[in-house]
Amino acid sequence: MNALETSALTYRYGPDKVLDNVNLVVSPGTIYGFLGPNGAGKTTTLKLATGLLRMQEGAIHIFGQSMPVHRIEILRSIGTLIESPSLYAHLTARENLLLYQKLYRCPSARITETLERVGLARTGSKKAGQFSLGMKQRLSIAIALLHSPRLLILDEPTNGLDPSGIIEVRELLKQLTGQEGLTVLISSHLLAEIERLVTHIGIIHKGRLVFQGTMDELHMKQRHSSGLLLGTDNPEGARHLLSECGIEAVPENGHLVLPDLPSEKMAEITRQLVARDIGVYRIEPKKNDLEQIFINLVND
Amino acid sequence: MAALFVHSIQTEWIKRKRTLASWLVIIGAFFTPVIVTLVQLARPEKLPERYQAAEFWENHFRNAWQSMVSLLLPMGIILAVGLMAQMENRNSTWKQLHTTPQPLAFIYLSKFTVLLFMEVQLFLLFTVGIVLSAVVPAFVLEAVDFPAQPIPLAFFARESAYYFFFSLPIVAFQYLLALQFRNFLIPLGAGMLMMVTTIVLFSWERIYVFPYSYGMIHLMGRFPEQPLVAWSMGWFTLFFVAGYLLYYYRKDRT
Repeated sequence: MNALETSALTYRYGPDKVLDNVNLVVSPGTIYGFLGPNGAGKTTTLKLATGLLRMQEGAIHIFGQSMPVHRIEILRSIGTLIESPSLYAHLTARENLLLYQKLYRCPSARITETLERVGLARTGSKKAGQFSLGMKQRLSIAIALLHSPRLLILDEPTNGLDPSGIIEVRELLKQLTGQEGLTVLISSHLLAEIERLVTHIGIIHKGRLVFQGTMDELHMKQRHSSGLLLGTDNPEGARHLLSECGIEAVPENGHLVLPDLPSEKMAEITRQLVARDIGVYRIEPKKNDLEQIFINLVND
Repeated sequence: MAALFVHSIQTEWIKRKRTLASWLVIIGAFFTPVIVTLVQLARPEKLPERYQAAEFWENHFRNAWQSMVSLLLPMGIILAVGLMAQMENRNSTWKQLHTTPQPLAFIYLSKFTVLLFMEVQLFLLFTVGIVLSAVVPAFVLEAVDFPAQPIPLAFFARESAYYFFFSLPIVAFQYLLALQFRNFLIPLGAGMLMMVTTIVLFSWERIYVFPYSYGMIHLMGRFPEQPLVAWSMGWFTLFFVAGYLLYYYRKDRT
């Protein structure tokens, strides 16, 4: 049974299709990074999963239960942080948690425990409205964690934070993701932001899921060459020769990027280059970094 | 489920702590009694005679309710209901509230219940204020004796209950608007428009069809109470149910 599963999830705002047949699979105990540029459909997906948007097409199951049919049972087992912090500015951190402690009917000792966990136990009578953005976001995470959920849904938890706020929240998330039995679904538009935290990743672009798999599978893509990098002392001459052989070479940072070629073909080209007195000092597979893979995926 | 509903009401009650809406109840309750007291202290000539009248408390109560029912109560309801909804809008807390494990009906009902509790709190404090506004001049001014008549608590309770029931359509309509529109000015403007319309149409023989008019009609004694209660409850039910349906079928609950 998956922690969260969407089947053919489709959503329209008026005539615009913002989600198109999204099949997300989040296995239990995983840390799933949901990645995509702004406006790709991440928040819409998460709002549908948490019942904040009315379903149009497709299905959502959380721990085997259908949303919105079992809305209340599902909401008992998930903690959420959707977009910006949701805090009552005129109440203290403890009072904010007290509201949710009553609604989730969890032990009142959880308030102190959770405040200590997010480092806000000593904020006393300070109102949430006077907190820094980082503190507000940590308090929002505390609200999501208060009732010990099985699935934590965090939508862009570092969005809008200054560098120190980002570090605060990132450190907190590192601690959380090590927690046994907790499944975390975290969205971001920055791969670098979550790549060290997550075990699985889904990449969404223009409402379509363009990649879904483990981080290892994504790293496999990274290891796969996406062409050959050729370094010569005469790039223009080399490009001309390659063109004669029907191979398109693209200049990049003083080198030429060639499509993947069979070894024999590459050996033949090298011989020809040397025969024309073009010095070859580098031939290597061109590797992608993760950001490049992300960009390639969303641009395909 | 009943326990969850009680908790839901408790959370709404905690939320109103330190808000402008909670101060509005206290200020609204004592504003008229303070003015009445000051006027009596400033113009004490006729007080000795008035304090010994057979229906002193009834007259004093009606006098105090006059400004309350025509202006302060509807205005207070419009502001308090708007502010309570605005608290969720301003803090972006709807989305968190709507992901708590409770039926949407509980959220709708608990917020409304707290608004009614606040109104009851206003009425109780206002009644205390009315009594104090009669007692203070008798304490301060030597020439004025305490009223001879005992405080008619049953009369106070009955009249307050009428004003409470007659205000329900206003609370329900403002609640409907406040939940529908994020812009605070829309329910505020609509409420004021309804108040002005009531005043403009007040001389009309069928003013009782207008949902904001019942408190004023009762104060003036223009129509019998029972049909007014029926009209008032009819409007209340309509607004309350329509408000819930609009809230329940909202596409986006953020």
